[in-house]
Amino acid sequence: MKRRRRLILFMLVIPIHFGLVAQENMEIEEKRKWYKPDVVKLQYAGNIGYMSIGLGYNWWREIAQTDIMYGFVPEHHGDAVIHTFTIKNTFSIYEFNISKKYNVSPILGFSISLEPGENSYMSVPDRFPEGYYGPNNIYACLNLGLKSNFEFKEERYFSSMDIYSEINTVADYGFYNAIAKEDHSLIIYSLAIGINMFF
Amino acid sequence: MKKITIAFKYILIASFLFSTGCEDIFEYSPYAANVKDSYKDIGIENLEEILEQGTEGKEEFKFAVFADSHYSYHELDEAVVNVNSRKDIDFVIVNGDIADHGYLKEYELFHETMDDLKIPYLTTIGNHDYRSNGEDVYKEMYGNRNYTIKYNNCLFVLWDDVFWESNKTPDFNWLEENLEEGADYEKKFVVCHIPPFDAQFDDESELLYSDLMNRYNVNLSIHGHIHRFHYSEYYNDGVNYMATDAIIDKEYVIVTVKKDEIVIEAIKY
Repeated sequence: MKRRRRLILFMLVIPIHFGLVAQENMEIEEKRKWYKPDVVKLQYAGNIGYMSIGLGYNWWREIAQTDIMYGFVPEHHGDAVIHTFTIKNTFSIYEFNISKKYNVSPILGFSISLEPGENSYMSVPDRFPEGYYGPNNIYACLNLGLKSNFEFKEERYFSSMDIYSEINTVADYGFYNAIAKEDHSLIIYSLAIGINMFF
Repeated sequence: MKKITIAFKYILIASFLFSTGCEDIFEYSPYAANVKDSYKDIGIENLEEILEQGTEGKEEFKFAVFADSHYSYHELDEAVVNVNSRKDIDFVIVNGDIADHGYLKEYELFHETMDDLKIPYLTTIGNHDYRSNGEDVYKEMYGNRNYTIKYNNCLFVLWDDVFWESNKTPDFNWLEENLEEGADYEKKFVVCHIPPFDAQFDDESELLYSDLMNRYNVNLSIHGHIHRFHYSEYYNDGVNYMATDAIIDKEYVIVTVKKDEIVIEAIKY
């Protein structure tokens, strides 16, 4: 029952993007200095924090976006606050132009996160024999989703914004599921939602 | 106006997601220890189920021991099928390392696989189960790391003997107190993940452990961790030590407890 509800919710989130309406006009973008970020990103969930925020750059003819993010999980989701630093890469697979100033794109991507917690480490503490464990404070996530982009009528700080939702899994979970006999897809996948605000 | 409409739609969908109690479709970190309600207190439920079996006076009983399943969910599933196909096993003890990185998701996947078992199972905590925030997850799902169960006039002491990952010395006082209290039971079993002859025990701890087993006439000291089957009177003092192979090797052990003897059988499946 719980699994079915989870599946229905995933299915509900995706079509919302296609229900959005286009906005009007866009100012001609000024040439930006290379080091200035193109985008501010805010994300809820997705295994990189309860909330995470970051700055990003567009590249490869704006098909790709790389974000550097900080996320945290508050104390009530465990015994201690979890801090996470992430590099997230997102690729727009195709752009569906719903109208002149509004488009929807399927997106896929991956991220690498670092969690500098007390019980996780890059190299094992001295009390362990050498090579006893590999690093356990770094992990990768895989994402597949949909984003809606619409442009603001008047550009003040931001010219346009994306709203996106993604189905996400930690790469280890994907590996576990691949080698398991039973399919645990509805346990290993979760949802993330977020916005990109473009300068 | 249109922007407001768009924002409203998203707020509506977000509200819908939260109002339907679907927080479980959002996950914040593999290290988060926020165990979902449906996974909480599994250990207590299983313990109650075993106690409800009303076993006093059985001529003999059998229990299976799994160990070190880590992320071998396929092999674990096969072990569950194998145990289910037998009708003579009363319960299963999973002797530690039920997770690998200590992720909450690993515990969930473990339980989803074990949930197909037709008989109850008990657990002990292993060294891998401590990693990341695994200790918190373990507590929420399986309860105390040290506990006892009395079954058919036998005492089972399930004890946390992880040194390095827990950053503490195991509670030898608790172990001794419980062995002392249960001295009158017909047979005594101590179940803990790491055998005393492993490197995590220093010489002093090894001596202390083996002395307790000997002093309180423990019939069998049950372990995992070493990823191979072992059964011997390791210290030549009348106490038998047994370790179970890792689940990835498709092997578990059945212990048959009879009036006059204890039979150990490594099962390949």
